[in-house]
Amino acid sequence: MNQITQNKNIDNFVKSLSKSLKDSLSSPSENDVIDELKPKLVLNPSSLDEISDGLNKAAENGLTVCPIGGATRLSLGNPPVKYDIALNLKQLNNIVEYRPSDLSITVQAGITLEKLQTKLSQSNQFLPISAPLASESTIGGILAIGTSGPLNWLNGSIRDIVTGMKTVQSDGTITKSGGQVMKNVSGYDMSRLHIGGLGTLGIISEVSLKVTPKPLNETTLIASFRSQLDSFQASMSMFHSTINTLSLSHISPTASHKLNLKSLKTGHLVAIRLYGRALSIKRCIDETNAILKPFKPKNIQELDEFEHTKFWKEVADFGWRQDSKPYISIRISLPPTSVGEVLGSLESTTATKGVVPALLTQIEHGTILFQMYDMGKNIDDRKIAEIIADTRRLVRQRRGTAIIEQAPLKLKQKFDVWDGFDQVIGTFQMLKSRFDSADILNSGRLFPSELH
Amino acid sequence: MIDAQLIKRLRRIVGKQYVLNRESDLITFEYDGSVDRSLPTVVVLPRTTSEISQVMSLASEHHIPIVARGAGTGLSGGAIAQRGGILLSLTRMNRILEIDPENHLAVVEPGVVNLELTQAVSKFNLYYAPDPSSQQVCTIGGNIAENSGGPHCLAYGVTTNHVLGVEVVMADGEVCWYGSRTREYPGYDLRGVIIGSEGTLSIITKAILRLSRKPESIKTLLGIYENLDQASASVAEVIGSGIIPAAMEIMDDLAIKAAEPAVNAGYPENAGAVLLVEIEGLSEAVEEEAIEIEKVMANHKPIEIRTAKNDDDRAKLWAGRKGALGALGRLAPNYYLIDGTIPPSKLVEAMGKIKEISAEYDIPIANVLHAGDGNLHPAILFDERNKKETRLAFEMGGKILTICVDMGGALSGEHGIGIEKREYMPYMFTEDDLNSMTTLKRVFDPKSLLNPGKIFPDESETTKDSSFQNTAVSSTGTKAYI
Repeated sequence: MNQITQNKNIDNFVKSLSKSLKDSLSSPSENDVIDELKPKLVLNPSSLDEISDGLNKAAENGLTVCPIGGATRLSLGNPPVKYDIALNLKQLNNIVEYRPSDLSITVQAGITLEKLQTKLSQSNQFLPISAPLASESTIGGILAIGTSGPLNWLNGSIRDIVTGMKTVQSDGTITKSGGQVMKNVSGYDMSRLHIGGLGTLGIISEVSLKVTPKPLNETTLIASFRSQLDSFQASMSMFHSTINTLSLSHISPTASHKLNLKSLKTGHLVAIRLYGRALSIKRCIDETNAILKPFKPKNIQELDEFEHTKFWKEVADFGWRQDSKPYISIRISLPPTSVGEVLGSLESTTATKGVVPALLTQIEHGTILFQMYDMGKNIDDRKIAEIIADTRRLVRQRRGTAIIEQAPLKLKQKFDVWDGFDQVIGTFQMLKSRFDSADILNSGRLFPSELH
Repeated sequence: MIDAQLIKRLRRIVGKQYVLNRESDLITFEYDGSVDRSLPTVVVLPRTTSEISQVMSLASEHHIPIVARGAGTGLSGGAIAQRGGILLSLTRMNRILEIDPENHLAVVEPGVVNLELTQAVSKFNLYYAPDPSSQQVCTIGGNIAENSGGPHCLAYGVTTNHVLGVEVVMADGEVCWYGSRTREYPGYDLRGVIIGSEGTLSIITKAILRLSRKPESIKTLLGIYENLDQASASVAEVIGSGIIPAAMEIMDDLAIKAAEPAVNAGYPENAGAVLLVEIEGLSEAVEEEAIEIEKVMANHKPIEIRTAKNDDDRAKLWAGRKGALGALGRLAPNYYLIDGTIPPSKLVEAMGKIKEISAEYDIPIANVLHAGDGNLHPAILFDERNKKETRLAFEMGGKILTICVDMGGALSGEHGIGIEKREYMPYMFTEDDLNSMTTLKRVFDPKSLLNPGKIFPDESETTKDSSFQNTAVSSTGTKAYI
């Protein structure tokens, strides 16, 4: 489409909008930029009907749309093929219904995780997930990305907390699936297509979530070890023990330094978040100390309430704060027992190339956040590309995936940032062609459309 | 069309003895846990994914419907070959392929019986958490197709929360893996879409299941109440107090009357309701929680609260609950079992309305509830020889389902829509909602060969006679499960 036609389409789009939607338009800012592309317009709808109207008119005028929540993780995904309109969902930030005794809350997608948790905590409940930058990250955005933070609730995943969802399809059709009850086998669970779908099949607009009572008590133990081998073996002993943890994180020296916690001694760390009733927590602390002892920890520190909260916020935010973003961030998912081998190999392969990565591992999730900082003069992009390729080979051999979450555009253009789509890409493309036939939603960011 | 030539080709794929087409053999496969009946044209018993793939290619080539079947314990007609065609019985695919205790997972074939998996991993101090009451016979494949629940899913979630990945054969015979051994995977969650899709999107041929660590301590309490309202109110208050027990089950007076003489669980026959509560976890926590739950139960004036003293005691308390439906034959020749869900806070209101319906129609309803998660199982007791009563029983069932939806609940908590509730789907979903689901169906099954006539309202003339009213009656007896 040439520039003149493009501008004409934008004009027609704006003219066709209702007055309230027209009033909601704003100019794009740096926050709306995705992979160096700036949209022409920002639409700020405040209801599902307005999203529907906006999408419908965008589709009619052949304009592409990227939904935006808190704009905290826009670097995720392949570069958009085309980006005309940013659909900012932050105006949709209401709690639709909350009944604590039903363990269910229904919210609009633009509500931030922090606002939601604050509301729930008034009834001693919480949503058992964590995500980076909770004060800005929206529920819709968190679900569209579909990855979990350090919190591990009953070994579930972020996909387990949604009981119902309303979405707006690319032609403006509003649909729902599921409901507000925990058990529901009534038709297909369409929400599954949108959790992790990066907003490519429809706009997550309203969700019903399963909430849970807050643990009565929580505490955190941080153990420091002399070597990565000791710290990893200690982590795995915790993983195999009968102690249920809310988080079990293995933190490399570089990662511990990047966590930006002055009170934290850096080193090979294992962070253990315990929860429960007073008596059981006391027992868990004793047993944890006994489990860690054979690995000769240099020290074991129990955090006070303030430090505990700050620590886990830092872990959740790791690598996403505006002032401390890595040059490259790779998210590796593996079966937990394969984590050790991969950690060891990553350290040695990067060392040969003169890089010291920051490695933060959620043992129970089998997730390694592999980040490289301050690359500028030390290493060229050819070597970085080799590291990425080596990492993927290593991870695939162990039936895992390695997703590039953050990288400069010039590197993203060389790689598919996603991994593990080989078997499903055909079905993904068919779904995309049925639910967004004109490919207007987040075009190209999850996989190349059949249209391009 | 299935002719002699096609039968020959099927036999070439799976072996002669594993293709059944004599009517006397087909009769075994004409029903499931509901009493709707329909003879498949041919039954095929494959042993491998590759055999299923070949059968599917053949079916696709000849436009033949395919219905997958596990143990046939389903309660919504999901395994009925209503339009004939090939019934794919997966019971020969019953191998546990791998147990990985270190990563807490197992890889199984679809015909593995639910309880046998738990028994196989027990030596590693692990178990498979979803526990439908038919777990002694029902298969993992069927559980995944129906996203089965069970009493203990209040705390631990339903089947979808315990399946990491599935190998499926698509309608055209292609074999794919959705999900994986890792907790996270990017992109559309096709695994999650397949679970609960009632065999209408693909055939599950392997599953990677998440295993859970056995709890250190278990405590079971039984509250005996004068009436159902007291038991229901106790449930809402326990959850409101911040404790999520592993299970919370209620039986009303009629269910007790049926179960007690049959299983001798020790429930007083004159009780208005019993509430069974089970808590699990670290021993210190379980002790404290038991005390707090007892206090809450006491607020609702129970006749008595009992605590199981040992495993035998616990098994006895559960025997009443698990044997309840099988025992309903003592009260009536037939029952129609409903599976709606409501928000748990509306339990008292919902049970009141169900009681009103029973009084209005003068037909008894026995209630067995997964109360903690609002999953109701009212059993309407009737005699199918009395045609008027049969018609009224189904009318009552329909009313109960609409009450569930009106209260913010759902048509089915764990049995699925199948044939039984498909006509009610437009009551819960708009035309746009249903269109979006059928769009998904067309992506996976463009020729509509996989379990046709299930989930969605059926407009075809050929199946109109076999609508909800004719399919939902369940025979009473020991093969009745919820």
